[in-house]
Amino acid sequence: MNLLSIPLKNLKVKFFKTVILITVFAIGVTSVVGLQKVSKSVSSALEDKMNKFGANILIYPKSEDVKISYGGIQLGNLSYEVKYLEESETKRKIHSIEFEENISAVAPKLLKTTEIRDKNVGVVGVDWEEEIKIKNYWSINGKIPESENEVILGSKIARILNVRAQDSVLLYGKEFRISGIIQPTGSDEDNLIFMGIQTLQTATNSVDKINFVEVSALCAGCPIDDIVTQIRANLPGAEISAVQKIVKQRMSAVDFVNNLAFIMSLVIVLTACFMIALFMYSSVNERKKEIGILRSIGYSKVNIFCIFTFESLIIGMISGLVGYAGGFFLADKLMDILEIDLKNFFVFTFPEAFLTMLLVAILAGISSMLPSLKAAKITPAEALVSL
Amino acid sequence: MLRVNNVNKFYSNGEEKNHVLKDVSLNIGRGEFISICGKSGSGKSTLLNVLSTLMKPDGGELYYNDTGYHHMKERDLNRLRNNCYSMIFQFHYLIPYLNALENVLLPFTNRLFPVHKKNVEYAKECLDKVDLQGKYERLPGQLSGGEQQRVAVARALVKKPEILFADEPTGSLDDENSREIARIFTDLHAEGYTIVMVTHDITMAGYAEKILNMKDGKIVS
Repeated sequence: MNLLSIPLKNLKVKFFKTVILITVFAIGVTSVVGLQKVSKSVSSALEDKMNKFGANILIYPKSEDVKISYGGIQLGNLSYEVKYLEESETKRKIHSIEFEENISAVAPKLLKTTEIRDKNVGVVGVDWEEEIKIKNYWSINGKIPESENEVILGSKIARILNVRAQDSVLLYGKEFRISGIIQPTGSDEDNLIFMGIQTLQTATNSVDKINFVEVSALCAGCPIDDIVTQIRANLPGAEISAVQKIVKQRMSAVDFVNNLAFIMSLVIVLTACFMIALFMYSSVNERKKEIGILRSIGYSKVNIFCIFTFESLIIGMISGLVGYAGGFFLADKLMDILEIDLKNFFVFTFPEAFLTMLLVAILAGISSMLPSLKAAKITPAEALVSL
Repeated sequence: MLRVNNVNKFYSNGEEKNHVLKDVSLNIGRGEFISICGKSGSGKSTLLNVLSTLMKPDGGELYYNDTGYHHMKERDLNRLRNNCYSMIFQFHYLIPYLNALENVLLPFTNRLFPVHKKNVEYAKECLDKVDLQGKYERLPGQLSGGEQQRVAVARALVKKPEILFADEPTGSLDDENSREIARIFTDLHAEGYTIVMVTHDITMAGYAEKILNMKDGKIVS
C-alpha cells in the first residue's frame, strides 16, 4: 500500500460512477479520434482528387515578348526569340529546393510543330512517368506509350487526321505507332500529339531543351508560396508562376474539412474536460471529511493534490485507450457510411495509442487541477468543522 | 514536554469576534494522562485542536520539547502530526473503502514507496492490542461502532506517537464500548504514552491522573 492505493481503491469502490465517467470521457475521445481520422482521410482523398486537376506551378523561360494591343483589343504577342530551358539543369534545381519532398511531379515539356499530310500539327514532348502523375484526368482509348516509337493523340487531331489507336503516323520522317487516343478534355490537349520528350528533342535537334515545366506540389498544409520562392531563387532566369486560384481552391477545401473537424473536436474535448472537473469538484466536496482525516495524520497539501490528480489521470488513461480504439471503430463505420474506401489511411499503432492515452491523461490531469488544488487547500480545522 | 503560554483563540462570526481561549497556559509532562473537562462551549475542544496543531492560535506560544510550534511552517507541522502527535476524534472517521488494516496503515502511506513489512506487522499488533485480531480485512461498514473506534485508536498508535490527543473518544459509544476504550487508554498510559483527552464524561475523566476544568475559555482548576 502507498499513496496511490487511496485513489485506486476509491475508484474501485465507486465502480459504477467511475465506469460512467470513463464511458462518457471515452465517448468524447472516440469522437475526437474518429473525427480526426475521418477528416485526415477525407482531406487526403479530397487532395488526391484535386491533384487530378493538374499542376499548380508553371516554370518557363523569361521572354522578351511585347504585348500588342490597340483600343483595348489584344492583338497577340510579338516574340523576338524563342527561349528554352535546359531540362537536366532545371529539373536538378527544382529538386534541390528545401521543400523538395512536397513536390509530387516535375513534368517538362517541349513544344514543336510539324506537318502531317499537309496539315500543321503541334507536337508535345513529355516525360511519360511524370506526365501521368499530373494528367490523372486523362482517359485514354488505348494505352500510354511504352516505347519511343509510340505516341498518343488528342481527340480532335485524331479526328482531323482520321486515325485511331494502333494506326501509324509519319512524324519527322519516322513512323510512330498511335498507342492511344485521349478522350476529349475540352482543352488544348485535344489538338496535340504527345510523344516521349527525348524522341522529340532528338528529332528536332533540341537535345536537353524544354519550353516549360509543370510542377505539381500539393499536400496537407503545403507551403506553395514558399516553394515558388525557393524555385525562383534556384532558377533566376525563369518565370515561375503559381496557379494561385487552383491552389487556393484546393487548400481552402482541405482547410475547411480540417477546421470543421478541429472545431468539433475542441468542443467535445472542452465538454469532456468540464465533466472531469465537475466530477472532481463533487468528489472533493464529498470527501472533505476524508481530506480532514488525512491532513490530521500528517498528509501534506502535495499528498492531497496527488491523490486527486492521480484519480483523474487514471480516468484519463483508461478513457484515452478505450477512446482511441473506439475512434478507429467509429472512423471505420463513418468511412462505410460516406462510402470512402480509404481504410489503409489509418492503421492502429501502439505508439499512437500510447500517445493518445498520455495526452488524454494529461488533459484529464489539467482539468482536475482546480478541484485538486481546492482539495489541497482544505485545512484540517476547516475539514473538521465540516464534519 | 508540552508547554503552553498565554494561548488565545478567536472565532469570527461576521463582525462579531468570539474569544474562545483566553490566555490559557499549561504544562504537560511526559507520560501524563490529562483530562480536560468543561461544559459545552467552554473551549476545551478548541484547546485540544490548538495543542494538536489542527488549529493555529491567534496569540501565545506552544512548545513541544522546547521547540516552538506556534509559528512552525506547514511542512514541519505535517511532520509533527505524522510522527509525534496522534488524534482520536469523537467519531471514528475511518475511510470507508479501506479495510481495518489499511486504515491503520494510513499514517505510513503519504509517500510513493510501499509500506515496509515491519510496519504492516506493527499495524497488526496495534489492531491486536485493541482486540481486533482476525478483523484486519473488514471494511469499517462491517465493524460495530466500538470496533470502528478501536480501529481509530490503533491508527493513532501505529506511528508510536509521543502524545495522544483524544476529543470525546467515547462520545458516540455505549457504556460497554466506552469502558473498553477507557481500558485501552489506561493500558496505553501504563505503557508510558502521554494522553490529553477532552471529555464531558465524568467517569471517563476519572481514568486520567489529572483533570483540568475549563470555563469560558480559561482553565479554572
